[in-house]
Amino acid sequence: MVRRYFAVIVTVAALLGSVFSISAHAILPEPVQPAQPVWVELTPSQKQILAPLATDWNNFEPSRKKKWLGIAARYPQMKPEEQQRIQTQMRDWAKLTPEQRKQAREKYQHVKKLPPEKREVIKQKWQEYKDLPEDQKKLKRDTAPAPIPAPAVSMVPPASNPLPAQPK
Amino acid sequence: MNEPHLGNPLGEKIARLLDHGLGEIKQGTLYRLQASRREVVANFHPVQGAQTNSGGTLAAHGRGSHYSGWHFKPAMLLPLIMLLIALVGLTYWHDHRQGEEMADIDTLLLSDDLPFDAYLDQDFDRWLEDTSR
Repeated sequence: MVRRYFAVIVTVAALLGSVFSISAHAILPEPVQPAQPVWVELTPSQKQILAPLATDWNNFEPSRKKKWLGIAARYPQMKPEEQQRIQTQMRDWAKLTPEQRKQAREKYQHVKKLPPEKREVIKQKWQEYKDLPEDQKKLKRDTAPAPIPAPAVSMVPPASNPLPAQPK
Repeated sequence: MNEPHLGNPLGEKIARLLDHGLGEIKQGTLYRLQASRREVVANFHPVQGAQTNSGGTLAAHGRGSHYSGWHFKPAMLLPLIMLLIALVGLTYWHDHRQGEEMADIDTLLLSDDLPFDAYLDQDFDRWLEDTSR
């Protein structure tokens, strides 16, 4: 009897495991996130890297703190120019809404998959676009023709990319 | 075994077979059978509303104890606990992986030479599509 019961449990566990990626959160309640350190508890190195977030840090939810601590852990292995870019963008990135961050990640994932030459075109075009006077950007927007031919380069993903389901 | 088996032909048939050669049972075997019967009867808990055979024979008791419903046994608790621990562990592992993946994406995105503003500027999307046709 117990053996049969055990076999049923093992079978159920195997089935649950195989479909875990879609069902885990349907079976169990959202796990309580382990507490993450407040600002004064960070190491000097973490404080230095995450300095742009100092004023907002204690208001971040645990999962968000955990993500930033993950970024801080990767930081020492980066090139100096990459570190500089992270430092300059960190604060503004943290101020975006979750939806904006999700949108940016989806587009980034799409652009990352493009061939290198197309990625290069996008970067050049961004520089060109940034240098345009505001009225010319608006003019382009107001007089944009109906999009008949497909664009050679686009940052808009054709369909939503499967990103992790917790945009923070 | 010579008790009546009211309304149960199968029980009567089994009883007849058991009665046949009843006298040839050894004393030791008889003692063990009696001890087993006493134990079964002592452990028997009739289920409320269940049909019982008024004959009170071994067959009736046997059926009662075997099908008396779901009895909780401590041994059943262990697999359940294991399953629960496995599910909780998998959930945390899944969340941990998602967090790591998110940190990876954000690290790459924020350290890229294309600033994140480019991904959020709808005008740039349109301008880029227009100028690349």
